[in-house]
Amino acid sequence: MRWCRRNPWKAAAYAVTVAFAAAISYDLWHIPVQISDSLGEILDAQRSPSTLASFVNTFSGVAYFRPMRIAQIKAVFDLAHGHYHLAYRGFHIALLTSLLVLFTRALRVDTARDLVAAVFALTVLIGLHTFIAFVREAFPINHFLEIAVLCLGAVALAQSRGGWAVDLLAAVLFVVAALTLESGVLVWVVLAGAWLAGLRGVSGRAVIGVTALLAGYFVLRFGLLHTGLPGLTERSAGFLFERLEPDELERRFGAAPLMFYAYNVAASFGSVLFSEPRDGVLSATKAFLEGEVPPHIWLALLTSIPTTLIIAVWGVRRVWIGPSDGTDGGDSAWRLALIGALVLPANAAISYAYTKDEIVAVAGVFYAFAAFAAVRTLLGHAAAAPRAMATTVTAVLFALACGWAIRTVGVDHVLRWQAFRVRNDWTLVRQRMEAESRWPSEPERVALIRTIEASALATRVPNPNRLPEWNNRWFRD
Amino acid sequence: MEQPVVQGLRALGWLALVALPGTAAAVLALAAFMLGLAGLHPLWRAESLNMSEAAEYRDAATVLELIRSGQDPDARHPVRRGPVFSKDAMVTPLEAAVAAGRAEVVEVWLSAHPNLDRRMWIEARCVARFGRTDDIRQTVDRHRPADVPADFDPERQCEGVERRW
Repeated sequence: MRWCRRNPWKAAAYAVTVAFAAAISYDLWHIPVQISDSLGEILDAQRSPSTLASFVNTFSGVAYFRPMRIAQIKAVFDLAHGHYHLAYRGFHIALLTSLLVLFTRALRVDTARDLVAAVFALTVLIGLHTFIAFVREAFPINHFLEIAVLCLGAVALAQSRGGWAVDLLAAVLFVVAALTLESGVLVWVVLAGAWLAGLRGVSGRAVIGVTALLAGYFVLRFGLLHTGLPGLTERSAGFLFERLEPDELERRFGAAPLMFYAYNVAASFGSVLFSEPRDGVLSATKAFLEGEVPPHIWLALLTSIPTTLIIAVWGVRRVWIGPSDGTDGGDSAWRLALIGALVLPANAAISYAYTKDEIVAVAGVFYAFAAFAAVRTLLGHAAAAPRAMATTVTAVLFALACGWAIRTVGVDHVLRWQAFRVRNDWTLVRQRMEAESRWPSEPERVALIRTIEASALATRVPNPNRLPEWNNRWFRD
Repeated sequence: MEQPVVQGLRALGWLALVALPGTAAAVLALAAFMLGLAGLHPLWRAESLNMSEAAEYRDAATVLELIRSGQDPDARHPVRRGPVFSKDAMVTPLEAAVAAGRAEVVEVWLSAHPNLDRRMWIEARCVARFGRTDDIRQTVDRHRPADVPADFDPERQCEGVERRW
């Protein structure tokens, strides 16, 4: 507790972090294990003889190379010993808590101004729509969240004092991330970006080593295993005002997919910076054209656009004029923002085949870092500015902070809906699986489904249909 | 010129103002969590609904749970005036699901019904004709017992079955 007394600002920042983590964990705990993209994986884990077998069996994939993802599902399954909700949801909660704690740790809160900017940044992190991708679903592990945690782990290593153990850990983080999801290569972007930004906890030699591992990943994936990349027809995707099914995507863009890929990259940028488009669809623009814009869209636009504007003005000023707050620690925040400036385009590029909030969620975390750095500097300017200017800046930041806080509160609403939907999905699990010829014949598989079904139906979930309509208009995800 | 102390206090006041919304959200979140540990979470309290109310509010899981716990799936329960019913009424869960236009709740009700026979299916099919959409009628048709002719015509054979809402 000594460090609490020594640095009460940091202690307060962690207290706020823990409060948010506890509340969201409570919500997560009440969401049953889902059926879609999850039950099939759990049944596969039951069939698999070992974690190693699960790992190796994925090497023959056509468009995806994610052996660690399947191996983790199997490992957690084996650890569960029949308590699947506890195991998978517990792992989800552990990942979420790690994300929030690592985020706050990276901010290096030392002063009252840091604390205020940190609280603001936490609401940006949690309130931004990309955060919902970390908590709404689990497959049965939320690997998008895991990649974000690994990226923040890379930041923590880069901020450390270094050493051979740190270098080794950096390599391990990269390997785990790259073999879990394609977006895992962002760990390399974070490590290289941190080194370029002046964070040298991970040595230059280690960064070169991880770069060699990245090259090895490409050789293994494309050269040896001949695993391709997701193509146009892999799944439905958003384009302008609608979602297009694979056959429609093929019809429209089959001959010239580059335009569609460019749209996806641009849409990913827009999604993180302006909360529009969402999952590739220009939903806010569509609402404007239809003349019916619900409050949650206004809220998203009126928080994201000004925040991005503040970040942009601060970033340009910082590049052209240099640091305006001397050497009081602002460099640390600037470096986080610099890493974010590299992660965003890299993350958008990864989304070229199809864009969705889940894929750009890592960039959303680094967007919150940039918001921290910009708001921190702005608060410094306000303190030294004439009274009228300071009042104006404070009023703008207060209004923005209110908006982000409301978006943060909306996470709970989204998760209650999710819990209600997932629990209801279980009522017709057999009928739906039989309709798709997926209902297993083996008694042990049926017993597994029945165990998870019983656990899901026993979960006490409030009925969001009973809520007044304004809840959906303000908080819909 | 303001005194440095006044300036400092003013700056602290501004900082506190910017931190206020996020901190308030965190305090409320923590309070809700603590209440949740005591089973009193203000947003996660599951209301106790009767089977007809559950069907009305699209809660198929609760309908299934209540049927499995041994409650009579054909009993009438009170439902309140609201978005589905224009006045307070006593309806069966099936009627509530049909009135709400929820085919998936009808499906769960039919699948879990312990004694669905010819007579009960005909009653269900007669109620389903009041549904606003075809999918409810199609859902009931999928559960037609073998001893009911395929050309069953609800328009002719449902005399006396009236809409109770």
